[in-house]
Amino acid sequence: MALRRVWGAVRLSWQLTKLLHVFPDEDHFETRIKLSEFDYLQASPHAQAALAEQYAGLPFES
Amino acid sequence: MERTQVAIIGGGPAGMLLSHLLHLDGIESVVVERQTKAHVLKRIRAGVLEWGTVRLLREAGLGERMDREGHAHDGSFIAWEDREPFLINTVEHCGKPMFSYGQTAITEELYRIRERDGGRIVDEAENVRLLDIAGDAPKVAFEKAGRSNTLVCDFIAGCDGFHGVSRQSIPAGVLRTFERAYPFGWLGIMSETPPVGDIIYARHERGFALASRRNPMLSRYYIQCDPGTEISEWPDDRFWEELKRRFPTEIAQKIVTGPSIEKSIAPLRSFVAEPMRYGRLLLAGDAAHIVPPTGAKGLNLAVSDGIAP
Repeated sequence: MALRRVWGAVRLSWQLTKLLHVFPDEDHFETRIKLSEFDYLQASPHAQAALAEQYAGLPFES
Repeated sequence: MERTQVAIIGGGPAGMLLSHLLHLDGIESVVVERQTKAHVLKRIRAGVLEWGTVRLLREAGLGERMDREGHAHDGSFIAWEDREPFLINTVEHCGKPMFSYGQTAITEELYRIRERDGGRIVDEAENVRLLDIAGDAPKVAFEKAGRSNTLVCDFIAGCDGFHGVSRQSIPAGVLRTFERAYPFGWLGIMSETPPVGDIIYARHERGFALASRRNPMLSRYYIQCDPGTEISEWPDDRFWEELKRRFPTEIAQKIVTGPSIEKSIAPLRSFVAEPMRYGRLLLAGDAAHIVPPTGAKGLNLAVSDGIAP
């Protein structure tokens, strides 16, 4: 079951990495999509809660 | 031939914490580390702990220095050019603060406590091999100072990092790996300057930047860089200038610059190996999985791996 927490952290790290970095092949469309994701996160308590839950860390499993 | 219950390969935080937790449960272990102890303690890595990690370290008797030097905060900010930043508020949404405290300090404490408790740690172990991991009496063979040694044990814990021998000892037909490499790295510096108050992630058209901290007089900053860049191309002045350009003006103005005491470039990678257990071998920490540092999850996974088996 440890793998569930592992994959949760892998997914969050991947998602934040994609959102926050500038990729060499990033086009204007993708930049706007990312900006829209930021605007949504910034404005939505629900979106922030979901991000906070994952950032705070998924449960330790044994 | 030496007998122990658990042979732990790797004396980083995953292996040392596991050794300590096993000791608390009355289980004997031997840690086998390829590098010198001094080298292990020189590594500068993670710095943000989940609340679950903080609680586990406290319960394991590692809280005293952590609570003295560490710093609880409400989460991290995300800034985006000239837009208003927002806080990923883990206290408001989850009732759990985040905690700034360096991996280097955790590892130092683990070495101090394991040595105090008489834990056996073999450093500078060369040519480490895992033998008979599918059977009931697995072994770890290695050379130390020119002499051959063999540990016979009940279990082997592979805590020897991404490049370690443990994961590679799982048969190719059993092991599945999942990987994503990223086309950039992080250039990081440590500076003995007061950090900006918060942990702040910034996205900017010039690239990502991160403001972090280790203690009230130790700042940690990163900028996204080209994978091929050399540290020599980044004197301190150039780093500070680039860093400040990537944060919104009000934040950039709060950054206190000073000489760097450490500067390094890290690649970014996502990697998962499955399964984490094969026969009598269990993988933990970077041996089993790598995350890019963006989510501050690597050390927190290494800690929870320590209780998973």
